[in-house]
Amino acid sequence: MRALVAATLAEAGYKVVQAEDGVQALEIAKKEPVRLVVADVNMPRMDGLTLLKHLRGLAAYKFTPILILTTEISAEKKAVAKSAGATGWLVKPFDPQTLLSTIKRVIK
Amino acid sequence: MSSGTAESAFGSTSDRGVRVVWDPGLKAEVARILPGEYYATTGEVIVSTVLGSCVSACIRDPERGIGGMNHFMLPSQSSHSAQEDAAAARYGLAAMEQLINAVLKLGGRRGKLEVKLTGGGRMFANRMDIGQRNAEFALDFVANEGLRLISHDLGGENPRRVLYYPASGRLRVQKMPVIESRRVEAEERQLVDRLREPEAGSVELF
Repeated sequence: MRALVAATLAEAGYKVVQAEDGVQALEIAKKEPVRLVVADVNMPRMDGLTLLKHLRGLAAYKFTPILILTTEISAEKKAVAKSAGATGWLVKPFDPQTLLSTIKRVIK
Repeated sequence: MSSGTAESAFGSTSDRGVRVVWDPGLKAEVARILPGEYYATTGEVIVSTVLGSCVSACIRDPERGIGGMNHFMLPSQSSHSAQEDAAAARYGLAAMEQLINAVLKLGGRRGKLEVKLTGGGRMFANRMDIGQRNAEFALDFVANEGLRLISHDLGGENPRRVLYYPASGRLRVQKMPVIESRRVEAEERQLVDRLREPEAGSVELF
């Protein structure tokens, strides 16, 4: 799934930096600021919602668009994502076009 | 650990409430999954389902005895294009990913995972063989992900009644009479309707 997302974004001309899990994503995000974060809820070591909370705690990521991907249809997790400052919530499986159009809407 | 599921005495995780009931004949707790569902456990729960053209992947960490099973089908298509194939494969990917994530969440280790595949029957001789497509998808997925496939029982014309014991890795497959095909296939059709449910692919911006 990560490969699919990465390929979709790279094809659309975005520069993509991939991370294996939430911990690595946070390290990368601290080192080289990115303009958009696409994170799955389910990741090893640190899940997407925890990553989201950590990122929102960093000055550089106060307003960066953060999209959360999930296969779980859970109103509770969606509420957590929303209150933690997620920009958007995408339920898998989705169309690559849907992802791209969503990204275009949130990157200003 | 669970996400909206009926609790067994063991750690378990599944999508919307998969029911776990005591089966007096098997003398064990049994989680019966329907098309589109999965169930993973750390305990002695048996996962059961009935397969027509759908495929079930049984995935476990043998050293820890943590594992589970899914039940999926790729949506059928009217025509064959690369784009439609990709769209269909996403449903399969999501089904496999959900199960693997569930097993990892319960403590299974990715590098240790072993896989058994079953199902993918050809339900009607005159229909497009969607069973074969499901089976090919599953085999490709396992190969692409570098997972260890230890057995597979795919294809054929009989529906299958399947019992998987994640704790021991045992998989019991009972071939049902071909005459049951129509009923089994009708049940699996419900999955296709569920795949079309509005939430999949939905986007919500906060």
